[in-house]
Amino acid sequence: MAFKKVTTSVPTSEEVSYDGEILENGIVQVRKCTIKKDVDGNIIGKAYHRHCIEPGQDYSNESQEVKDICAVEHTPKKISDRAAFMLAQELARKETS
Amino acid sequence: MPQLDFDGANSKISADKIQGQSGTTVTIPTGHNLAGDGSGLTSLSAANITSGGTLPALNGSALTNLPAHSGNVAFPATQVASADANTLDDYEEGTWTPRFASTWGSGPEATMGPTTGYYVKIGRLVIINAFVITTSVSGLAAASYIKDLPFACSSDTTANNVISTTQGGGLAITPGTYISGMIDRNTTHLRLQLWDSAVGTSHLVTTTEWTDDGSLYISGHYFV
Repeated sequence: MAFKKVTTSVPTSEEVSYDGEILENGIVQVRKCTIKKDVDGNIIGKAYHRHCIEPGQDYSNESQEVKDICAVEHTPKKISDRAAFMLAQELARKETS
Repeated sequence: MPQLDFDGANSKISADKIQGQSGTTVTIPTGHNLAGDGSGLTSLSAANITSGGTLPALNGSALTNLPAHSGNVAFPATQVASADANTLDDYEEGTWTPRFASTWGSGPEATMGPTTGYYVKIGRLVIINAFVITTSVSGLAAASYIKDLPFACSSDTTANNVISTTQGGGLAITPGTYISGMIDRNTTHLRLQLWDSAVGTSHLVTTTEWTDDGSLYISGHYFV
């Protein structure tokens, strides 16, 4: 039986960037990507953190590039459509409960 | 008329080899094939395939002795979506941070404790878990929405998904009632509901039932 010792390199620097997806209904799926590097600058890992922003939700605490996207994508029409959809969902739940 | 081109001092065709000139690549032009019955193919390595080259489609009927794979299967960082039901087109893993609120939209939110969640996305299936803990729910009208799912739930009309919960704390609920989670189609949040097995009804969890130091482990999956 062979055992392999698992070692973990300690990152000395990180680079953060943002990307994601914009859905047709205006939902912005934000993916924060953190590239981890060792002391020599070699990439030793990558980590993702995700969250979503629906039209009508507050995005004031987002990064500037995400704010810029939401400002364009979250149009008054998409915000009102989303509110109407959520209200319809809520009413449907009340009728069936 | 079939033709063999022989060019260069070091290129040769021998009984067991087609060899190009040193430092060059033997090229099979588009529309031409190098045929064989496969019985002689005993070694194929990355070094044998030039950059940009592609392997031909494998014939399933001939796959009788696939070698064991000892490395990784890597997907592109950005999904190349496929509508084919037999194609695996995405894999991603990461973290998400649940936020606790009384509504899906903007409004007051609970003060969270050390809350972390993990996700794995395989194709259109998203598996999530999280430990949700609050330190204050002051100002909330209800304690029922966990926001910031890593992906929006599918808009398919049958895409509602149930999320299981367990090992809660700081909950003022009566015996016979249970908290469960629901991710509605086309949304990015999870609704917490209290199911009363004696009465047979459910309602959104209130701030009376979820106290300031409420906590809950959640786990489940949904489709995108």
